[in-house]
Amino acid sequence: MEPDDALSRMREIQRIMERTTLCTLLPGSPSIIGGALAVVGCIVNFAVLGSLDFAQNAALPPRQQVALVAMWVGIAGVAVIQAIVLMARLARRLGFDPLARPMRLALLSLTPTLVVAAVVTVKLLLDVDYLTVVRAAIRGEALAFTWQPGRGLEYIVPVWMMCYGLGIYSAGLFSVRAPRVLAWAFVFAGALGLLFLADCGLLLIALSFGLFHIVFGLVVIFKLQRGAPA
Amino acid sequence: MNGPVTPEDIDPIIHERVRLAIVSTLAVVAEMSFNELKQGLSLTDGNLSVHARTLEEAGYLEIEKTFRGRKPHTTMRLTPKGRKAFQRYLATLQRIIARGRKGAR
Repeated sequence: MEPDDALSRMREIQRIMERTTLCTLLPGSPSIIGGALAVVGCIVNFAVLGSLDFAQNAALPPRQQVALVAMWVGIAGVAVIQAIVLMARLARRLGFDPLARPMRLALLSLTPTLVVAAVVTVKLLLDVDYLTVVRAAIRGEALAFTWQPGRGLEYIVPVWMMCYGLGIYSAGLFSVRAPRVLAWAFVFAGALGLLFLADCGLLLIALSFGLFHIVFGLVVIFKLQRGAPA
Repeated sequence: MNGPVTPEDIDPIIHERVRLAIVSTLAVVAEMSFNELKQGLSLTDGNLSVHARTLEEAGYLEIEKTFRGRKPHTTMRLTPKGRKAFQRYLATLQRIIARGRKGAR
């Protein structure tokens, strides 16, 4: 075999192994940690709110609203950061660049649905005439309005669940079946929540972002990664 | 292992491209189902079956057939012998590349 042929084979092997590494890079413990954080968040939110209806947060006094928003943003931030750190560490331990092409593709495929979720969230949280806001911004005019939660605020959680599920599905196309199963679970639960349980947002968060993630993490650790070379 | 690389040093079982892809894939996971491997490597059922059988006969691959409900489910994993053979193959490639670099100087 010629050196060039050997080099080309080596590159091919590296490409295949990097792509496959996504299988072992499924976030096992990060999912469990993220899920547990979500459940804790729901318990705290329920303790403050006294209701399972996530949309009722809009009726709380402003100070409590700010505290709860800060808590949820904090939980989301910690969940994302710990997932990135732990997965990057696992990738390095396996001898791969955490930003190898398959990982970048998986992350990029998540982006569109996260953008959709963000836009819908803004619209549901703040129901204003956005054209007037844009015109005022262009003219440099000050715009004063009091915050009015948008109509259908109770749909925010099911929408997040479905968008998140679609995002995972896209990212999971580069991996084994397990993340796609998780994705469908989010989409179905989100659809059922939207149709039947929209006023039980906290329960939906605890079930999906909490329990689904914990179960997924356990499956990854005890089934998919058991015996994998480390 | 620093001497010249002879054709006998190259494991013909692993050297074949499809089998090399199968082994490279299974080298970084504990196990993988037949369908996942087939989709991941864009192979047909027949192609994967034939090459997997060759690897199994060489003792490099373990194929486990079970049922999930009524559906048959096939799982594949590399054996320790298969992992060693893959590492030897990688080492051989590295030696060939190193030899080429020396020759180029």
